[in-house]
Order: sequence, then structure tokens, then C-alpha cells
Amino acid sequence: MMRRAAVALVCVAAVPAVAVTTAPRIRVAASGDVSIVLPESILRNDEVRKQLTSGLTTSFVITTSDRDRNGATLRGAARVDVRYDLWDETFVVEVVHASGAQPAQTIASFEKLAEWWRTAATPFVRCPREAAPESLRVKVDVLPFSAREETSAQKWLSKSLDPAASASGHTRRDDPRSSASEIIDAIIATSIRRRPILSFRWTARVETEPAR
Amino acid sequence: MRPRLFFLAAMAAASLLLFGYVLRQLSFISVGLAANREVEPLLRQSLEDQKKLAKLEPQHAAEHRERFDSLRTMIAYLDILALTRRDITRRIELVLFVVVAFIVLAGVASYLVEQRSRERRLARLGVALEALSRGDSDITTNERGRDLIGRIAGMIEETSRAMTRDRRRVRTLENLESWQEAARRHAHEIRTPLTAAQLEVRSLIATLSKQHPEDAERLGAAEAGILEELEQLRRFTSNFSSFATIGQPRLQPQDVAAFVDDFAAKFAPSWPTLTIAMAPPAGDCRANIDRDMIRRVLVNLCSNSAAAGSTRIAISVRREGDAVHVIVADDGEGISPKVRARLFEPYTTTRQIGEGMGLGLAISRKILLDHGGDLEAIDAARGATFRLTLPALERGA
Repeated sequence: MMRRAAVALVCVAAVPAVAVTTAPRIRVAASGDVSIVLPESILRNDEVRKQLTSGLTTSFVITTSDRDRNGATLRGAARVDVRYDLWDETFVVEVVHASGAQPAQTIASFEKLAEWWRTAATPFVRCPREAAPESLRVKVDVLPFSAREETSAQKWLSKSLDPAASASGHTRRDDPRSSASEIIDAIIATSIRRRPILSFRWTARVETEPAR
Repeated sequence: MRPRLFFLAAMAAASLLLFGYVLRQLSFISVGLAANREVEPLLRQSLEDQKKLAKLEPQHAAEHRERFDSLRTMIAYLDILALTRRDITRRIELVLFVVVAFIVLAGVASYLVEQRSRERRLARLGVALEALSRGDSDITTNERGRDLIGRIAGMIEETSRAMTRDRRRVRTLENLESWQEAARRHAHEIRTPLTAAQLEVRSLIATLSKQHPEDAERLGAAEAGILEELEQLRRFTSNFSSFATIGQPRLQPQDVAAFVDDFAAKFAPSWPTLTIAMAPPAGDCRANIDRDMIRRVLVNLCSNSAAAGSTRIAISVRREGDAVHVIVADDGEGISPKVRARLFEPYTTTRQIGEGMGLGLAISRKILLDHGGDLEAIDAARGATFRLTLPALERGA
């Protein structure tokens, strides 16, 4: 009894890591898929919103690491990529989870995106319904750009650090004297790494879908 | 050592801190310039312009789209640069700091290693100098460096070698001196009664011949025999005297190579069984010599070779450092190991009694020592080889 009360209290309070948001909705399907609907407040966060319209791909990485009722470890992750297409002025959304990737969707405006966000249930972990825990610790990291953009920017910076290559358009690969300098350039270029600009943590109550 | 270490560590730390501070300022400024946020609005405006142009000029839409994409990529890179600016700055600082720290530490380590090595070498020099002051001979320092310490070590070794050489020379000369003194006394002691004996024999034979004229022939033969033996004894004493009275050389500058060449040409017929071969001289072979004395040495060596059954003598003259070396090598039976250690001592000979007194090499060495040089027997695969060392005249003198 006391435990349920505590869980309820946690759900109401939700524990934000960085920004205060309402808790996400987590539901276990009959198939065992545990999906999450993220709170709209994330999307409407000023920093997130500014990032969304930058033209870079904003990734929302959902992760969980907890235990089910039987004490077995539950680990899972999913990713929601949102990129604003500056030419078409539309949002391109792609969801990637353990079961595979959903086809990219094009959403015409931010309001439409918010509407999609409110209803999009993203499966991120699997757990038999009988063993589903009462609550689940979930973390969402907001990454400001994608892995592909990261690699591309690293290459660009590496090339920019090499004045000869920048001027001539050729690399110094065939010049053994510059190998040390190339290593240093590479070390500096690889400092471009995706780090979350925001992180959210909750211990959210798990709802169970009624059996059909 | 400790204060120096502390000073070095403090200097290294101060250098690194200063470098770190300057680097922090510079790297932040440089990355800040690259990620200048004022550029982005301009680029975004250009994006909008390209879009508008694409609508206004549909025939060039693809071109504007291409430019748009290029601009968009550049904006993306600048955005990423701005987002990761702190990480990049830190990485640049870290990389450069590590490189400089490595260089500084390597420099300090190299200095300390060099310092320790120098102290070890100086300690070795100290030991060598102590040995030199004790009068030890043939000191070696095992220092082959070309720096100041190496040169000092070389001087210590050279001084030690010179001291050893001089000591050996003095010992030899003292030894020969005592032999000469003994020879002088023996000669004197023998010569006086010998002369008296000769006179007495002559007087006795004359008296007896008068008293016994019938035995005059027999007495004459006896007198001749006795006087011959006394003459033999006189020659023996004379040899003694010659050893005892070796004079000081009268030195004159000479081209030793030319002198030896001349000797070979003139004296070769003296030993019909020997062929004397001269090798071309090497270097400036001028030295102060007494021609007669050096000739006597060469004659002695050639005579010894001929007596030892040699058929060929090779003579070469060459300059080595401050010395002129004359090498005399024969193809005879060589030097007997039994006499090698005391080869230059008087009365050392392998010949039969009556065939020589063994004074030749002793006299020869004395001559060379009096020239400020030396005479040595050097190891050879075949025959006997002698080296005459003479102090060379300075080049251009």
C-alpha cells in the first residue's frame, strides 16, 4: 500500500534532471512492447524549439535501465529524430527503435508536429505484460545533431585545420612529414562529439493495456 | 643536486603554467572567431534569398537549390562548431599542452641524464688524476668523448704514457750506465796487467833466447802463441771499452728516409747473402740524428740478421705523429723467446762463446735513447722486426 502511494507520488512529482516537465505516459501492450509517449513540454522547451528549427537533426534518445517484477533487468532504447527542412519548411521525423525504423514522416508545421508528438507511442523496451513493473525509470537525452552530421562536421573541421588541403583541395596523405600534424588534426577534429543539450529523467508509472 | 632539481622542476612548472594560460586565451579566441554567431544570420538571410530567387527564376531553380544546400551545410557546421566550441577548445588545449609538456619534460630529463653522465665522467677523471699523482703507469680512462671532458681524459692518458715512457727510458739508461761503468772498470783492470804481461813475455823470451840459442825457434813460436792469446784478450778489452765509451750523439737535422736509402745503397754489398729492400717513405721524415751512430745501429741490425740466416731485409721509414719510425724487418729465424725479455741487456746473445759478446743491441738502444728515441723489438709473424723511433722535426721547421 505504502509502495503504491510512493509510486503515485513519484508519478505526480516526476523527477526532472534538467527541466521540469510532466511525466511521460508508458504503456505495456499485450505483445509485450513497452511504449512511451513523451510529454509535449519537451518539444515546447525554448532550447529544444530553437534547436528544432536550426536545420540540424535533433535526436531524442529514450533509454531505460530497470528491473521487472521478477527482478530481471529491463534495458531498452529508442530514438526520435526531428529535422527541419529549411527549403520545404517542413519537419521530417524518423523513429528508430529495437523492432526497426519507422518510415520518415513529413510534418508541415510545428503545431502539427506537436500534435503528432502528443500521440506518438514509441516502443523502447520489451517486457512480458505479467512481469511489467509498476514504474520504470526513463531518461531522454536531447542531442543537437545526428551521428552523420557529427562525422561530416569532423571531416570538415579536419580539412579546415589543414591549410594546404583547404587551399589545394588535396589531402596530405602522401606526405609522411605531416603524419604527426594529421594525428593532431584528427585528435582535435574528433572533439566534435554529440553531447545532450538537455536531459530528462523520470520514474513513470507503467500502464497495462487490457487484454483483448 | 637537490636544489638544482627543485629549480628545474619549478622552471618547468612555471613554463607549463604560462603556456597553459596563453594557450587558453588563444584557443578560445580562435575557436570563438570560427564559431562567430554574427555570421549565422547573414547566412540564413542568404538561404532565404536563394529560396526567393528559386521562385523568381524557376529556370535556375536547381542552381539556387544547390547554393542553398551548400549554405545550409555551412550553417550546420557553424552550429555544430558553436555547440561543441568548449569541447574543441579543451581538446586543442589538451593536445598542445601534452605536446609542450612532453617537450619540456623530455628536455629536463635529457638535461638531468646529461648532468648525471657528466658527473660520472668527472668522477672517473678524478680517479685517473689520483692514479697519475701516485705515479701509476699506463692509465686508461675509457673516455672517448670529443668534448672538454674527453679531451682532458685524453691529456691524462697521454701524460701517463709519456711518464711511463720516460720512466722506462731512465731505468734503461741507469741500467746501461751501471753496465758501462762495470765495463770501464773491467777494461781498465784487464788492460794494465795485459800490457805488463805482453812486455814481460817479450822480455822473458828475449832472455831465454840469449841463454838457449838452440831453442830460439821453439821459444819464438811459444812467444807468438802467447802474444796472440794476449792480443785476443786485448781485442776483448777493446770491445769492452767501446761499450763503456759510447759518446753523446752530435745531432743534425737529416731526412731520415734519404739517409736510410743511402745506407742501403752503400752498405748492401757488405752482406753478400742479404738483399736490402727499401719501401717508399711516408710523410715528412726529418729528424735530428747523428749519422755515424745511426749507421752503426743499422749495421748492427743488418749484421745480426745476416748471422741469423736472413736473406732479405725490408726497411721502411714513416712519420707517425711526432715520431719518425724506421722499421727493419728480416726473414731470419726470429728472436728466441729465451732472450726476448732481456734482448737489449748487455751480454745477451744466442751465439756460441767466442762469436760475439752480445753488446750490439745494448749499444744500439743506448744510441737511440741518447737521441731521445727508442729501439724496440716488435712482434712479427716471421723473422725479427725492430723499430727505431726518432723524435721528428716539426713540420715546416
